[in-house]
Amino acid sequence: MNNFKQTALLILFLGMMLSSSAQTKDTLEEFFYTSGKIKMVIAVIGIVLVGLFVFLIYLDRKVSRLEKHSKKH
Amino acid sequence: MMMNNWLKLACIGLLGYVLVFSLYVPLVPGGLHVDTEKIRPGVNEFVFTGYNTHFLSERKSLQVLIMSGNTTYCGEVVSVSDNAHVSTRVVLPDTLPSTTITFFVNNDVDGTLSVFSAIDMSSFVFAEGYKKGSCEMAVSNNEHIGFGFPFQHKLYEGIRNLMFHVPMWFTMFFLMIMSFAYGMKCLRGTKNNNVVVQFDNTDISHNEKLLRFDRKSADYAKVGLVFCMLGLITGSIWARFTWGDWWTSDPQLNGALAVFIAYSAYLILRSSTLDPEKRARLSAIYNIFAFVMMVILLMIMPRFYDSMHPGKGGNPAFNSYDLDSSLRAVFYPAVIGWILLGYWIYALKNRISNLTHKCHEQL
Repeated sequence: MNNFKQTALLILFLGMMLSSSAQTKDTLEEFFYTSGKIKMVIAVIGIVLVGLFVFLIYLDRKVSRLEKHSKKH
Repeated sequence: MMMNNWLKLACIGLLGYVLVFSLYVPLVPGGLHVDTEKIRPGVNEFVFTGYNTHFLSERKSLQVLIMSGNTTYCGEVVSVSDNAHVSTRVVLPDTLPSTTITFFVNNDVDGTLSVFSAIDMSSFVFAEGYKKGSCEMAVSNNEHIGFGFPFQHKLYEGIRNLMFHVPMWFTMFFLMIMSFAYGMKCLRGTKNNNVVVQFDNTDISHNEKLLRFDRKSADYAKVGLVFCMLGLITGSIWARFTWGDWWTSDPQLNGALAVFIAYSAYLILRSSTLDPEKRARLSAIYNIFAFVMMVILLMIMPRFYDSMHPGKGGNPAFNSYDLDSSLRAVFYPAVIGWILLGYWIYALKNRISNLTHKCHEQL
C-alpha cells in the first residue's frame, strides 16, 4: 500500500513536470533563462534527486517482497 | 558486503559540502550585454548591463570605454540606476580601425568587465586613416575582488551543474570498472566447481563463490546504469539551455547513449538466461565487450572529433584551462562524494540480491 502511494505521488510529480514543460518554446526559455539560468541548475539537481529516489523506491519494494517471503517460511 | 560507517559519514559530509558550496558561492562579476543594436558616428548612448556587479557602490571609480582594433574611445558615465546598469555616452569618429567592437567597464571592486557583441556598424568607414582614440583606462585592478565561480558567457549560473552532471559519469565509470573486475574474477575460476573455499569467513562451494562475484558484477552494472541515465538526462537539460537543443550530434552524447544501450543489453542478456552458472559466464563475457565499448566511446573517440564538451577535440578532459581553482575546490569533493554514494547504493543493492538468492535457495 505504501509503495502504491509512493508510485502514485511520483507519477503525479512527473506529470506536473511534463505539463509545465509542455509550454511553448519561448516561455520555457524565458522561464529557464531568468536570473542567470540558476533554474536550470535547480532542474538538474532535481532530476538527480528524483532519479536516486526512484531507485530507492525500487530497492524498498524489493526488501518488502523479501520480508513477505521470509514471513511465509 | 556492508559499507564502512566512516565511508558513509564521509559521503554525507562531502555531498553536504558540495550542495551548500555549489549553490552558495557567487559568480564573479561579468558583463552581460549592451542594449544597443547599432552604433553610428557621433554621439552614441547605451546601457551596459553587468552581472553581480557593483556599479552603484563603486560609482566613483567607474569607467566605460569602447575598443575597436587597437584604439580605445572613452565613454562618459551618464547615470547609474543600480548595481547592474550603467548608462553611457560615447562620441565616435567616422572612421574606425576594425569591424569589431568591444565594450569595457572597470571599477575598483569588479575589475575589468567586457562585452563583445555583434553590433551593426554599417555606417562607419573602416580604413587606415582612423583618428586614434586618446582614452587610457586608469586601471587600479584588472581582477575582481572576492571569491567566486568564473563568469562565462551563455553558461552563467549553469557552471554549477559541473558538480552534479559530471560526477554522474565519474561514478558510472567507477561502477562499470568494478563490474568489469568482478566479471573477470568470475571468469577466472570457472573450473573446479565443487571445491570448498573460504569466503567472508564461511565455507562455501567454489561455485557459490563465483555466483557471488556474478551478483556483484551485475549489481555494479545496474547501479552504474542508473548513474548513466541521470548523466544523460541532466546533460540533456544542460544542453537545451546552453547549446539550444535537447540533443546535439556531439560524439560525447552519442557515445554515452551507445554505452547506455550496451549496458541495457547486458541486463537483458542476463534476464534471458535461466541457468545461473551459464548466466554468470555469458554475462561476464559480454561485460568485457560493454566495458571496452565504454572506454572507446567515452574516453578515446571524443578526443578525435570536435566536440562541444570542454576539453574535448584533441585535449584530455582535465587541463588547466577548464577548471578554475574555485571550481576545483568543490568539484573534486563532489566526484569523491558521488562515487561514495554510488558505492553505497551498490552495497545496499548487493545485500538485497544476496538475500534474494538465499530466499530462492530455501524454496
